[in-house]
Amino acid sequence: MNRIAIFSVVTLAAAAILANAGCGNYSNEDIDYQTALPVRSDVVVKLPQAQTINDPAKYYVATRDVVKLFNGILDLFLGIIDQARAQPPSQRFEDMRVWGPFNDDKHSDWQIRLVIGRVPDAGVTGLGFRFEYRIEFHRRTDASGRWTLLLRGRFAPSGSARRGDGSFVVDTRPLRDAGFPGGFDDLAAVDMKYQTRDFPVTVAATITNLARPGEATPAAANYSYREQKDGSGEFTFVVHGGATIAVQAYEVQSRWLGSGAGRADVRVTEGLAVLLNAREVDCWGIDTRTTYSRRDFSPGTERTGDENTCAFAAP
Amino acid sequence: MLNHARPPPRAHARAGAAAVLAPLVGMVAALVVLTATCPLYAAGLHRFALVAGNDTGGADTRPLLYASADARRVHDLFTQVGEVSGEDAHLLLNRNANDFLAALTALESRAAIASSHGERTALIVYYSGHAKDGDLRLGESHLPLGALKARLSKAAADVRIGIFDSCRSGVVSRTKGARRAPAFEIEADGGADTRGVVYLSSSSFDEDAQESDLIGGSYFSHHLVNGLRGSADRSGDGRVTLDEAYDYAYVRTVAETAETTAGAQHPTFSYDLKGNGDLVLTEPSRRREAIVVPASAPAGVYYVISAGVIAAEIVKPARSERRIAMPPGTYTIKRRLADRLRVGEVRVKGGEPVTLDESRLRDAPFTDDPVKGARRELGARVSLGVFGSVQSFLDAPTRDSLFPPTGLVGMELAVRDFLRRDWVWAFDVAFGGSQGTLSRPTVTLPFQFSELSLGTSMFAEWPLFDRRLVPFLGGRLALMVLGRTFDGTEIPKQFFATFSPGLVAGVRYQFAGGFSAVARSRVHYLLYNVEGNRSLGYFEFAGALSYEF
Repeated sequence: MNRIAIFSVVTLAAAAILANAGCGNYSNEDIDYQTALPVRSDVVVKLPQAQTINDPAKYYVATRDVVKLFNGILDLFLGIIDQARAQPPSQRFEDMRVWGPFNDDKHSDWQIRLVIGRVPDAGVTGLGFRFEYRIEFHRRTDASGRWTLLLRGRFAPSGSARRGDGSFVVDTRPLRDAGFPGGFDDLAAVDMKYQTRDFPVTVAATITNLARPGEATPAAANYSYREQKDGSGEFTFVVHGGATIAVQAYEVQSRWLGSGAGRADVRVTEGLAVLLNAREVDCWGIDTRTTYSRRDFSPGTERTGDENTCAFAAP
Repeated sequence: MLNHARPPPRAHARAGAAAVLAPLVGMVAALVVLTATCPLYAAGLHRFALVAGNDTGGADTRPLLYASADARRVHDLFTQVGEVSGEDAHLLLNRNANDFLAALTALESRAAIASSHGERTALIVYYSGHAKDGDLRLGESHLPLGALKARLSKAAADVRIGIFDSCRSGVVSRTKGARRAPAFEIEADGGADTRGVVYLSSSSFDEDAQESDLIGGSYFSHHLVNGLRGSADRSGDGRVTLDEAYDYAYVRTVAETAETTAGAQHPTFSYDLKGNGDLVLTEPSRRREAIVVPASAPAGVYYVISAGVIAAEIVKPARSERRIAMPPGTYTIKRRLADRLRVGEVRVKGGEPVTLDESRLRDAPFTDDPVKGARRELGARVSLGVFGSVQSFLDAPTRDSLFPPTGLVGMELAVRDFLRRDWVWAFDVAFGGSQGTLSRPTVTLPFQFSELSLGTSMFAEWPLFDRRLVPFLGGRLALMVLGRTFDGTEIPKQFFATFSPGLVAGVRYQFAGGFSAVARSRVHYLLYNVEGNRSLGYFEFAGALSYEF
């Protein structure tokens, strides 16, 4: 056998072997499961950023601060999902994918896994199934192999370019009880529902803190968010702790356009009865400076600017 | 005038002449002495040389590897030790018949002028290349051998020497009844001066002339040049006569080709001469740069190696010095013993000979043979090309949901004649991309597809039409890295990498100046093994422009 023949045989053998050496991270089927998980852009509140921070409207600032807090809580859990989704599934079953276990970046003694299953659901039009998923933690030194649930969610896909309807519930208490070192502060639970099938995208969440000593029921806050295709949105939340002694809690309904101009309408939900019908209003332009304001919570009513400049009418 | 069909061996010729021409024994003896002592050496002839080599011979022939290299060596030989001045030597490499005849006309004119001034002249015509059906093949052009012979027979020069190194070149002497012969001797018939025509051919009329990678040329030309540089100087007088050169070239060519698969190749000769004196073709002793093997050195064949190729050989008899004229340079000397090699280096400096010192050679195993062969040095050719291609997978579901049709641009580096003549080993890199939409039951996602391909191909070429049009077919192994980016989503980049074997076929059109246009197609197999195994195939069409260095 001459060297050409040897070369050819070796090359063909190498080609045959190497042709079986393909590797990839995930398949199209995996994408079905990946897209069932909530993504940050689905559920976080997208308040347009101010062009300037000099002298912004009071209730724009209040809205911005709550949005930051709200999104921060969501990011705590979406970060875990993103960490899992960035990797290929470690196990594939006919109707299930498992990501992990992989190490928790912040707590080296703990491992995380994400399990997504596809379950029949006649209520999901055109598809007949939905996805259910859970995020679980496991202490590496725990020989029992027990996994502790942190997050459980479900998602009904729409089968279109838009996504669908989803919800998830976070309960930090079992994990705390299992000795998880922390990272949730006073957060006890998050209950979130969202739909991204049609505009407006809607998100409704209840965030519950741990009960403090002496509290009969733990503090809970409701948030509601609507987002239109053009970037305009509405975020409603309740602020506890008063602006004044007479105002113990108040609800803020902030609305904004895609340009950034917006309006916040505030009403007292807890406080002196005389103020229950009081309203405060801030309207702002694209630079977030006040264009119109109304102050009722203090004695007397104070108005500045022209209400006709507001991006929205009174609700 | 002598018109020898086959001159008998030297000893027999003398015995026969003595018997038939008894009354002239004394005169013949005198002539023999005269021949031996007064050869027609260089100083007596104004020499002109036309040296042509052509690697191609038209569509029905395969290209030669070393024809032009042979011509270059012969040209160097005659201008260095053959007393041919630069202005009287024409070197034609890969030129056509018209160029050949024009150069011949120019030299004939110069020879006629020299003759008119009373000089004696010699015209040497050397050709290395294809010959077929009675024609010399200079590329696509043909030069009838009969016409060339007729031309030489009437040329104004006193002596005309035709040397043809080509397949079946023995046809040049066949009409004269020339035959294979181990040696011949040109003898005078009593005339005052030698005049006439001599033809040497590298092979008989039914043989192929053979080339060798080890010597980087044809056997015949190599040994002829080698002999004329001094190896053939049997008499040791520092001059190489025509019969010495032929004798040496014949013996060495037959001996070395006898071991080849094509079989022994027998150089032939014929001549039509009259006059007195042996023809001296070269005078190596007049050139100071030389390698001298002293009489005290062991007998045997000393190979002079340059750049891994046997540049010359010195056949050293016992107790006799041998000298070979070589241009300045550093050479490796090799002598082969039964169980080992003796290897060393000599450096020929300008203006002085170097004497080989046997004691400075070292022992070396056969595996360290300094002769590497010429193919890589002389045959391998490198080209670099750019291409654009369109790639598409064969089955629609794969095109629609996984790897969409894609445009690619890339570069290809090709090495021709590296492993084998007309085999090409190529390396390519290509990058491209396209856009698509993934439609799943649960979601519809637009994506950006990208592909990086690194490949190596091995294919054979079949040159046609004087190597202008070259179809090719072969195999390829590619490393493919395929990726998709789903813009506007949190889904990480999807990738798949694999090796993909395939076939490649196409045609290359060679333009002048080293440029080629290539049309090429590929068919590849790909095993997609994410979530189960799927055998996929894709094809690719490409257009390329390449340049050969």
